[in-house]
Amino acid sequence: MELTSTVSDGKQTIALSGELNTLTSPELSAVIGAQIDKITALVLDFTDCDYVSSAGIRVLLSTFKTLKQKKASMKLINVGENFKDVLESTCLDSVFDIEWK
Amino acid sequence: MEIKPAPTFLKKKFISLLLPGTMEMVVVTSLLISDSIIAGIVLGEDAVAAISLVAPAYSAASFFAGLISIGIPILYAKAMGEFDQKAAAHWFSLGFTAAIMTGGILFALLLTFGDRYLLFYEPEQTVFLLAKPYLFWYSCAILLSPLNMLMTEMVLTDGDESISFAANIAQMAGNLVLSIGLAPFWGIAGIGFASFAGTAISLAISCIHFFRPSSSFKPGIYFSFRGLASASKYSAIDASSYLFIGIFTVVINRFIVSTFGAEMLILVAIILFVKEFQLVFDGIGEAITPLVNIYLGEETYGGVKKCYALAQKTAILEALLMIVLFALLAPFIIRIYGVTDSLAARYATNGIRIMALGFVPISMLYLLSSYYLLIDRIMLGVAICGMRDALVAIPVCIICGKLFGLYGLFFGAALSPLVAYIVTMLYVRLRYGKANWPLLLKEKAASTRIAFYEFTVTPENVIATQKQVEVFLAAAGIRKKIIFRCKHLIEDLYMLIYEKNGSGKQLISAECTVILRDNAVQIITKDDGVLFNLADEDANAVSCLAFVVSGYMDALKGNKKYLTTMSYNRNTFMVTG
Repeated sequence: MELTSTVSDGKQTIALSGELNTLTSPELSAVIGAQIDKITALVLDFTDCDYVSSAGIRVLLSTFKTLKQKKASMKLINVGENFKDVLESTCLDSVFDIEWK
Repeated sequence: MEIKPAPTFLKKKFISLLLPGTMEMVVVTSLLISDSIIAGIVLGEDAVAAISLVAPAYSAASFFAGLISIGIPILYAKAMGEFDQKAAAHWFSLGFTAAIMTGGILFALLLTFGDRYLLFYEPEQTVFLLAKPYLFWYSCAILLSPLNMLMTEMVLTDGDESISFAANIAQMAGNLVLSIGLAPFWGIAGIGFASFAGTAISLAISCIHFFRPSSSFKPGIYFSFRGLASASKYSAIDASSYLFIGIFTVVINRFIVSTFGAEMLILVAIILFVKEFQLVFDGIGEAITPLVNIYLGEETYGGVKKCYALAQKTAILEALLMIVLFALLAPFIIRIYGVTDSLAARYATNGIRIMALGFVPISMLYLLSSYYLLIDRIMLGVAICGMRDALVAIPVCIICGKLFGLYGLFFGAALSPLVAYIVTMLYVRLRYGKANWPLLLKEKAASTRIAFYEFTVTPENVIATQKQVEVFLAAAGIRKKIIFRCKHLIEDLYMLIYEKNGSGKQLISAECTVILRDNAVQIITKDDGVLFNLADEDANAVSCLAFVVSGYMDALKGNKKYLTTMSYNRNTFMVTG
């Protein structure tokens, strides 16, 4: 899993490449955790990541909860068909702010 | 990424089944022998003769009980393998009903015609009077015997090794202890009562399984002659084995008397003892029966192959151990048989040791005949029994006996199983071809559409398995959407199993079978962790993982099934897209 993180004007953008699964989700959690207190917006770009397992969803949900508490925003962009399938089957498509591919 | 080697699910299950499976065969072979030995020591020769009179009735009862207790567990396990719980329940109910009926009919027949049966042998008055009370209590044991045999087999098939083992031990120990304790006060009736009590205790212990949470039994009353006929064909191998050993005994008996003189007749009893003892090797076949049946029902041929390979190794090890034991215990065995003549004793001691050298191929032949029974190659199994016990054994023993005398006869008895094994292997290879040899699974044809993985449940192993499944599905040209759904299921289901079992605190073994179906992929999961229905969409979602899995289950709708099988978790999912 490759994570490219850029931060500008309190907005962190993370481009994910590879699979977000049980073994790789702690990496995303660490990258988000390093900036979460300093940002007001988080954008997760799934252009090159279409496989997100429940471990990845857990990271997304806990991040979403933390950001919501401090009134910051979180957006998932370029979400592909397969990730959409998972989000729909768990009804999480209505929880996150999503921009489909 | 590699899957870390660990004690596999299959190996753990096989080892746990091996002891009760072997114990069952020990009980079968020891029950009547122990009655005769105790009667001989405590009550004398007339009591032994009285027990011998009842022996054919016991054999007949065992034969009828075998018609039910061998076939029903095989058909039950096959139905469970196909996730067809309704059919499995039907087979169990049929076995249950037929066993009660058989026991009842045999009991009534022995009560009504028992005296006439004993008088048919024209025994001396003292022997007849001793045989009567023994037969009465034995009839009571026979009343329960078919149900008891069925239950011990079924409990083992359902994966409750501890109950099956306890039931067998109780039957053997109960019979022995009560016989020894009661015989001095109650005479032969005490020995008969001990057989009845041992059977009753064993049955009561087996019935505890009904109350276990892992039990898949749904008892009921159901009868069908056609169903009984289907079940009884599986007893053909066991029934034929008794027949072939009988033919062998008659021929060798005559050969010894005519060639070496009547004073060497005791050697027939010794040869027969070693041959009957070899039934213990059938315990390995007993142990693989439930496992192989489940795999066959699922079409998990990789599992069948691994199971057989494991059983084969065990058969060799067990045979080697028995060779050493027989070499050491030979003098003790001939003492039990009362061989006093020094020449006969020397022949018998060395003969036992020579015959034991044939245990490795014998053990392999027992395993092979059990296996062919499971894959419905019943005639092939019968042919193996025939070669092992008579068709090869008789000519090889006689030729070697003619050429090299008495030791040659024993050497022939050791050599004949090896000859029979080689002939069998050659026949199967020539008749069915190299690709199918020797398991006749057509595995080569199936390997392109079935993949089988076994691993210990850790995050690393789960992802490694998931990657292998992805490669297998992609190579088979499966659509990406289905591949992704399969990947999600595999990762999240096994991680939920990991979470349910303390996230690594407990070592859980698992299997995953992936089968390509028309427009779908079937995934079968097995694990030996806490019993938990993965396919339940209404399961309490106490974690994010459980919540996501519950979402998947909801989406799968009818394409999923959970079935506790042999006391472990087993799920099947049909993934479409």
